Amino acid sequence: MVELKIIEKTEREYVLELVESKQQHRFQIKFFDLVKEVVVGDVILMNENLLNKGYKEYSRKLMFGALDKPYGRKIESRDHPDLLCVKKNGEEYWLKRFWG
Amino acid sequence: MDGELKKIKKLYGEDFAKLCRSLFPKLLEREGDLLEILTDTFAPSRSLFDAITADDDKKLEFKYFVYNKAGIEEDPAGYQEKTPEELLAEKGYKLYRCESDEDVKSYMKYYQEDELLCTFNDPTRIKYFDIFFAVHEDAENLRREDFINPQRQDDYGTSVMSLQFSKFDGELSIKNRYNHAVENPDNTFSNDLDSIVPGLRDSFSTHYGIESIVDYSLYSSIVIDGFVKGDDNKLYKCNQSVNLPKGKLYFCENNVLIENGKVIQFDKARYELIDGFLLDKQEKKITDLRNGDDPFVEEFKDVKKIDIEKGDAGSRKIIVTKNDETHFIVTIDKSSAIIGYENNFQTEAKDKFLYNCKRLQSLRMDNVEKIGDSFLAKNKDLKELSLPKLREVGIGFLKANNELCKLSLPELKTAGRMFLQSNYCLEELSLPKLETIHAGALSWNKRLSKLNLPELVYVGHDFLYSNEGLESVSLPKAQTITSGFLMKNKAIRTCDLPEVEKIERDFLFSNEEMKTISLPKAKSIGTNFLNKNKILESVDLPEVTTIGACFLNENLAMENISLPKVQKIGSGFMKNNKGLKEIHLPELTGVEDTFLAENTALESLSLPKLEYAGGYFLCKNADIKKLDIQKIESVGYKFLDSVQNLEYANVAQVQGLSEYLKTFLQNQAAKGE
Repeated sequence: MVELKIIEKTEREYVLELVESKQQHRFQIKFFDLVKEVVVGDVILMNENLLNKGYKEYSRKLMFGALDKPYGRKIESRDHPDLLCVKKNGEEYWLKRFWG
Repeated sequence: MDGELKKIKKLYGEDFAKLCRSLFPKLLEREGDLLEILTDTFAPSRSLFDAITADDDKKLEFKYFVYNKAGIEEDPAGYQEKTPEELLAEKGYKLYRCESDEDVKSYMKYYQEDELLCTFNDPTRIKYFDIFFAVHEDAENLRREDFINPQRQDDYGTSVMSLQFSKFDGELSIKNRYNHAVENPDNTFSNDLDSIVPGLRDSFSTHYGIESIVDYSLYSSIVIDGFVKGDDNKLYKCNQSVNLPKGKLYFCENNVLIENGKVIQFDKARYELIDGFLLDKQEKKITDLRNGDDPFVEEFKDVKKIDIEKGDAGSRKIIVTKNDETHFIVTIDKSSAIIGYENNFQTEAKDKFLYNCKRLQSLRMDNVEKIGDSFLAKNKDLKELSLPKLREVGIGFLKANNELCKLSLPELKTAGRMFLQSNYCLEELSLPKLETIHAGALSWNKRLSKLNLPELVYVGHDFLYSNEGLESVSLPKAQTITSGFLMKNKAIRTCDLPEVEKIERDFLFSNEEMKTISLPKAKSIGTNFLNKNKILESVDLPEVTTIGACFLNENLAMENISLPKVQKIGSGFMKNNKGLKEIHLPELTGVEDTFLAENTALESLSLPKLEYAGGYFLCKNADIKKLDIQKIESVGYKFLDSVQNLEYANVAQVQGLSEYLKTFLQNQAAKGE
């Protein structure tokens, strides 16, 4: 997994910056099942495939929600490309990619 | 245009040129632009067409990539007389437009509970997207359980599609009925309406004012499976790659090597890149570009000439004739992989000979007698092999050959570790002269059911481990069976080992089918002998003197057992045997912990020479009635603690006897018994 910091948030987009390389990526992300909003300064851990345009399931429009919901795949490994973590105020919120 | 297409055809093949004609008719009117984009991006390759058209997503990605590079866009949607409803009806669909979240949720019934669209969880979706559902007339009749291998665009996946147009940027996403059970489910039909039915894009624009927009900025680069980028920014078709300490090497089409990104083009007139080797036709020698340790290069000593002949399907034969007039032939396929090797003059193949060549389909070495390590390991394509004079093979020979069905090695005497390990096709094997076989050999052979090894004397560890199809094994000359023999062979019913004297641990562990076994010369038995076999009714061990731990645990069928010479027994002997009623071990002198624990049917036990017993001796055997351990001198914890129903006992008075037993012995003595 790679670590990215949210450096900007517009109405439609998050701008994420890789902590290590400072490379920036833009995504439209919708978060479900989080009590608090994901804001600038929060950190995202995501699978590096999601940053790779050559990845078969690459998209700039992503949705993430609770691990136990039926809208995404069953996650059984930390390396699953659909797994994501939001780090916020010292707390970690593990989510999975939603589809459809 | 024709001139440009001719050049494209020359570089990338006719099919690719035809594809370009169909995808880029307008761009071709700008003479030279398409050719420039292609030659800037792709090295010449006849493999490009297959790679681009491998699936619809890739083809569309290629199209949008070229559009991005050319700075052009799809033509705006034109007029289409037929409505989307009419067009989709031609394909058997009914189209519904959703006006509210309730409308959206009414389509939940078509989806499996664990494949629901996130759309149904998102009440705001209708606010930001124009949402349609296209429901096929067969949708209600299709059963999800009939589609055990879901494909995104199969009948079920496309029987209900949700078409969602972003109100913000016009981007279209076509959702699949399988949802996340297939790859890229939000990209059904590559999100191209005209792929569902031609004219559909124009129709939505004409009748609903909705135009699906492509964000071409997403397609500024292209990645193609099997192609690698060089330092000239072009994509090269890669035949194989290897990671070395000095970096990554890619062996590419058309004599190109990419080393740490640097493109090296070898002159075709002089060189051939073959399966990780560089053949110098002028110097008549070959270099191993990978690890440099493949002894195959030594076959190119004293070469008189090299001829190359064309074969079928793009293959070629490289015929190497030596000064002494011997010769050998290497056959390569159109990807320059070595698929055939014929050398009837070679008598030995050293360690790592052709070890990186996994695509051999045919091999002839009629006079080879000795083969070293790693030869033919993990070969993907070899189906049959005959090496009539081979006597000795090293480690890993024919390991993990998933296609090998037929093997003839009539003279083989010695086989190294992992010989024929993990072969999934081989059903029969006869090695009439094999005498020695080392660890891990013939393990995980899923289909092996017939085995002929009449001369085998030494058997290494884990021999025949986990062979599900094997029902009988006969090793008439084997003397020592090392650990793991026939472990996890559930189906073995008969095992003939008439000369075996020593058996190490885990012999037939997890076997479920054997009912009887005779080992007439076995003197020592290791741990876990036939452990977990519940149905064994009889075992013949007339000579055994030492038995290891966990002998015959959990057996339900054996009622008695004869071990006339056994002297020492390890822990857990026949634990939890439900059928054993009586046992007499006349020579037994010592046992470890949990001897005969939980043998609830045991009524009579005679161990007249037993001197010491470990802890939990006869634990949970409440019903034992007759007991003879008259010579016992030393006992462990909880000795005979469970015994409650004795009728007769001949037990020496040692420290550690239970109160019940002491009382019983006193009463018995008082009665004069």
